[in-house]
Amino acid sequence: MIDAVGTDLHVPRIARAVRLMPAFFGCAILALGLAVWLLQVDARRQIDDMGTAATDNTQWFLAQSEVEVLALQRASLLLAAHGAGADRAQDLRRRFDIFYSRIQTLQQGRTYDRLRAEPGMTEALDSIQSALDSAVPLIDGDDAGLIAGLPRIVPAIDAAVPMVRQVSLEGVRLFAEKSALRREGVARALTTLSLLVVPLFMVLTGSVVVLAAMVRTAGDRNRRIAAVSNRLHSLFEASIDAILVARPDGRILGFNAAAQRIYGYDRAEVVGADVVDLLTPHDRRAKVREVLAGVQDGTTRVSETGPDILQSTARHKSGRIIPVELSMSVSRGEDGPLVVAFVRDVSRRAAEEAELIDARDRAVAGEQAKTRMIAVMSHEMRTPLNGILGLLDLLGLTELDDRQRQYLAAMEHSGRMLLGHVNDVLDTSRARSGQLVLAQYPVDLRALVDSAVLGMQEQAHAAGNRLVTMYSGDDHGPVLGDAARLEQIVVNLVGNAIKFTENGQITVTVDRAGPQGSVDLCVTDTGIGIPAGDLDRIFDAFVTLGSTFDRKVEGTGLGLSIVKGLVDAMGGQIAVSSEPGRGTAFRVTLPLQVAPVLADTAPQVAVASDSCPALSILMVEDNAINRLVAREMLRRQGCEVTEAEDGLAGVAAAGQRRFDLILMDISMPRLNGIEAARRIRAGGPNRDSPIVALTAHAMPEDLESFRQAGMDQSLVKPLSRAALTAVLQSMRPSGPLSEV
Amino acid sequence: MKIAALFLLLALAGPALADDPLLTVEGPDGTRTYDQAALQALGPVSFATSTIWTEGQPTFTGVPLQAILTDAGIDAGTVSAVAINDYAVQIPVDEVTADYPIVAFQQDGQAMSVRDKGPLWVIYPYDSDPDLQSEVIYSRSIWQLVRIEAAR
Repeated sequence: MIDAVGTDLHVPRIARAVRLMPAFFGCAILALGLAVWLLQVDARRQIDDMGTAATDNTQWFLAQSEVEVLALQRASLLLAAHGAGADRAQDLRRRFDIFYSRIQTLQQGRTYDRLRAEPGMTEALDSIQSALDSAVPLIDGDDAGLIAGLPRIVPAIDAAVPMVRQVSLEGVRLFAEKSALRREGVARALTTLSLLVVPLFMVLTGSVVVLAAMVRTAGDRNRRIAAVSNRLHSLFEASIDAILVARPDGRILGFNAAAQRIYGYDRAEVVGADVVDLLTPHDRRAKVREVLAGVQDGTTRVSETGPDILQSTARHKSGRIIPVELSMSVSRGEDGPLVVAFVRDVSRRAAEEAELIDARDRAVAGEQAKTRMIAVMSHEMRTPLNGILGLLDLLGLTELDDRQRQYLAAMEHSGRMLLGHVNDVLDTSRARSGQLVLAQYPVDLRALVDSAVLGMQEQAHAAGNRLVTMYSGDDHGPVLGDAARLEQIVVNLVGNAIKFTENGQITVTVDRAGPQGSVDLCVTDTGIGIPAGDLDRIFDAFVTLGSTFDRKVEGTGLGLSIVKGLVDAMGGQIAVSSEPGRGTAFRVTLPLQVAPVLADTAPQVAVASDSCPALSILMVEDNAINRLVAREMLRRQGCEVTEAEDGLAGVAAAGQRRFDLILMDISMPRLNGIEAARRIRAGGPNRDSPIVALTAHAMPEDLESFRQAGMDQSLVKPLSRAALTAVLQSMRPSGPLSEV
Repeated sequence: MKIAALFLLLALAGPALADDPLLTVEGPDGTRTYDQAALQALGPVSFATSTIWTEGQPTFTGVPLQAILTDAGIDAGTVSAVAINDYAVQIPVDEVTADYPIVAFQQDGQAMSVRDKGPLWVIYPYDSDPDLQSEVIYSRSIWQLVRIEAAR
């Protein structure tokens, strides 16, 4: 992101080279400057040497020496020609002294060291010197002596003249040569100097070029930094989240527009102030200080994968506490670490969340109320309803005239319909809440479907429909499943088809051609069909599509919803396809394992016979109506019935004598059925008598506890004659006590 | 041997008599002459220096030229220093400092004869400053000095 906006300040290789240039040029300039300085010192020295002549005016001195010797010669000749007088002797003496001092200088002055070193020069000077020295006594003597000595002095002077000339010429030649040498040296020094100036100039020019390049590079970089800075500023200001920049001591350095909005402070009020004092709620101050201190010490680490988002609170200018989400990063610069915090005001979201939670809580509470209501229905409505139906059943066995029998049939129909609705509601509720518990018993699928379809033939005929069943694939024998629920699926689907079909055909197909352990059950009709738009909601509860058509549709609209719930509970799938006006097909695919082959599957099949052995039976049941119904049923079978109204009474009765069979209700006052069964099994005449539990709902775990209490079988209330007959018949062939 | 002979000769030549006028100065107030005593009265100074004309580093004793010029009332312009053989050199008065040149009358404590570039010799302390080793200074170091004339 940052790279994308161009903060990449990576220095190219050329720029790095440019950065190294100053050092290179610095060294070059230094070296050249040193060379030039040394050379100029040398040149200056040479030029100074020319100025500080160590030589006086040498040529002039030598020429002057010649002049002086000639002047001495002239003075000696004048004295010789004219004799003493007119200070001629004095003049000679003065000229002698002057010349003498010149020769002394030539002999001793260091300027003339080189001259004296030339071949012949020392000899010439010594010769002049000795000539002068020999004349000194005469010169220093009186005039007469001097004049008398002239014949010796004059030839000596004459001899000195050519020698002085010789020295003079030699000296002029020598010093001219020396001058030439010195000029050459100066010229050489100046030339070298001028030659060095060229590279110096070039290096300086190069430096200027490099400096210009560096200035340009720096300018470019500055512009880039400025652009990046602008972009960052835009990001900073345009951010929806508040951005705070603070130092570890808490001092706020940056506060963007969103922060002003969220915190209610102006930037001017905040910048420079303490982030903890101003913006942090009291209860969080210590924690924030700790975090800041951690940043200062470097102990607070921001994770590499990006900052964590923290739930926190912030303080608005008004003192209001705002719920916020916070993410923090630490930027480490030259002036120490900086904390950058992104703060998002989540008060609206928090409010929405609270509302949702509240709504959910209310929904859950409503659901619980519904569940409670249904549970109440289960016990408080079904029990009397079962009583009514049982008694109606018994009433049908009494002598009735035709009209009474007609009324009875209508009552029984209405009662069964009402019971069906109540059961539907209960089943839906259970399926929805996941409380549906499925039995796993061997089921003869074909017999089950045949029986269910047979029971619905009359209803189908009433609407002019044909109802047929078809089987395909191999019959692998019984499957493991919950027979009642499977029957319910078939009945509900067929019932639904009948409702929406008139003068058509309804086909039930059982297909076991698929993989082992999988059964396809299809119910197809030629009815009015379902519009495509409604297909999605037909499995919802309380949906009756028929109401939109001009046709009376019975039912609560729970049938398909229950099917769906059962199929889901069995781990199967249900699919529907329909074409309005042509018909509908439901296809249920269930995973039903083939049942292991058992020797005796009698309880499922032996329903036909009404003949039962006459048995002595103890019935323990707290509901008087239920007792009445059961007693009447059993008596009709020729059984002898002893009644007990609760568990304690049951145990007491069982202690009196032996019974062939004990029917034991489970939930009873004083002593429940399970405990009563356990006591009967514990000892007494009925220790080995079969005990059958009577229960409204038999959960598998309940069945297990019944078995542990010593109860062999269970019957689901309300008792039907068929179920009761089946239990009684099972006593005869296999029951160990049947001969009693 | 040669040097010993030389000193002998110098001794024989004999220094000029103390009351002989050694230097004539033609100043704006007329002409003044200085003998040995008059020069001594002007406060002689001494320093040792080598010269390009002599061997070793002799000590010269003499009177600063400035003292003589001041005494003669010359304080500006240029003076001409004239030697015994009429050799003359121009010396600007403002280049004459209180310390040098001196008009030396003794070398190594001995009065100087004409043969030894005496009796008066204008001497700078050449060794003390390379600036004094220039041709201009050497040309001003006039020996066998007899007369100083203020230029008109």
